[in-house]
Amino acid sequence: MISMIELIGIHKTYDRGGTTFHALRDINLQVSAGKIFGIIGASGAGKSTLIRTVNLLEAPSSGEVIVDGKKMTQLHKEKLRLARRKIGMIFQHFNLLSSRTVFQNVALPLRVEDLPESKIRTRVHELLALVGLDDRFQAYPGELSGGQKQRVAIARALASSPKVLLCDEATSALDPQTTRSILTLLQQINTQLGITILLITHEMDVVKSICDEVAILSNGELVEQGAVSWFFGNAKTRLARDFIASTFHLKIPEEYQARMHLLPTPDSHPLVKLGFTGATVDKPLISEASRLFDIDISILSADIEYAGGSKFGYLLAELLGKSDQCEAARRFFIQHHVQLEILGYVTND
Amino acid sequence: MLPMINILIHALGETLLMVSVSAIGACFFGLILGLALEVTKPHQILPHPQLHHFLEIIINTGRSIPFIILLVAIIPITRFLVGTSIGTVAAIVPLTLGAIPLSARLIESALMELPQGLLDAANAMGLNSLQIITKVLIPEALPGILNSITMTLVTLVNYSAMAGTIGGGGLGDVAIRYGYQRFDFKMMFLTVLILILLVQLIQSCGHYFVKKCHHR
Repeated sequence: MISMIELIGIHKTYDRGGTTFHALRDINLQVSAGKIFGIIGASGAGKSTLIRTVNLLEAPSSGEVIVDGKKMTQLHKEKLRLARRKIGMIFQHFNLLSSRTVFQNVALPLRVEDLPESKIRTRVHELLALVGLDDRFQAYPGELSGGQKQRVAIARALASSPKVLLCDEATSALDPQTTRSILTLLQQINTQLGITILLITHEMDVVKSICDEVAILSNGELVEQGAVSWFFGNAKTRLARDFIASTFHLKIPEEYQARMHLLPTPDSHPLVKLGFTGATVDKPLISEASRLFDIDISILSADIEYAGGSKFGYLLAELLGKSDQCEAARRFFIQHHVQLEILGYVTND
Repeated sequence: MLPMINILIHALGETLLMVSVSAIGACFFGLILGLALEVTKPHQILPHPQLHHFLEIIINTGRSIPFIILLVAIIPITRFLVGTSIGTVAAIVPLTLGAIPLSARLIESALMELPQGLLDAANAMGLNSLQIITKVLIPEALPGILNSITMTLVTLVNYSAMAGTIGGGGLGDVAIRYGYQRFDFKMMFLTVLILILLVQLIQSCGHYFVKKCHHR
């Protein structure tokens, strides 16, 4: 695989009133051409700094940035400026020019390249058609919704036919539905135009829905990385697991919460959360437990996916049976590496 | 009645001449200085701490000199530039110089209002510094810049009244000579009324143009 973006030993330090702040420590990263690579991390982890080093909006303190074979860190000002035109970038807050129409925003990168007006016109309409906004070319950004603004920003970023698209929290200011439509568009751009995409996000859902590869950034360091399919089943670090868990949305129904107690009573039964990870033994554990211990298992809610060769996800269930049998079932699950957490005890009424 | 009106019309003409010519000068140099002040800041496109510091000192010095003092203090410069220190044309020199620092500060603050993200986008697109200034900074800050120009104009109407002290003429001069020194309250009232209307007109035009180019 040809690597499109390569970061080698990137460090970034800031001087903050005498004390040195390490924003990035020894970052080594390779993004293969044509892939969608996601970097995930909590806020303050250094994600933005990291993605901004790729086009040198933020110059690293040490280390090397190579994009499409060009050593960005060694380019002089003028050469760097031209190299940046082949790296598109979109932002959380879109950063469109409010004084220009949609058309003029997308045309700007082409105008500075001194293309003839007729070429600019065809190209802009082509790009706007690609992002599905050709009918709004005369509108000002102020008249558009967040999702539409990001589409304009994407069209603008693609104007100079870049090989790479950097997405700096591109969907973080959008609602879930718009987020999905923008992600679909990014995926379409990736497959149709073969553009390599590097994105940063704090939402594992974004990674799960479009990324091929993922890396986790924490306190300026990459703690774990790999293919997304592998990652969901095999990530080892606690942080990775937390991020993965955050993509599963399980809630105890309110009606159950009202009947739930912290301690068991004679007529109550446990409500448990079962977690299936890459380590979990791949067997039909629920029905086996039910058979072996003569209990009923009533599933309330489940969010399970098949990724990287194993089942992954969580389910909420009531264990209905005698308390010693339920206890035996609990041990059975743990033996088979199911994460089990007793959330409480539910009474019938 | 007729001589009075003639005097007022003549004075209004002088005021308009002084204000408009000095406004053009003040806003032109104010824009350059304001831009220089903004783009030489640390996170801007042409960071230059020494130049920035130097401009700060110059502008602050200019802002701290009371206009009436400036008017007299720069008489030699005025004489050198226009050959005389008396009259409407001579008054344009101190008016321009006095309003440049104000205009520069106002334009700087209009530029400061722009989100940092615009620079990121412009840099990511590979625009050069001149393109960023002409295609991003100025057009995006245009509503704020027009506001600054309006405020500079109003201040210049105000300053122009003081120019009467060096024989600059204009409405302020009429108000002092007829209204104050000759106790002609009617004249005083009329000049003040014209000044009020003038400022209202400037402000309304300012609002109109700001609204016209504001698409946010």
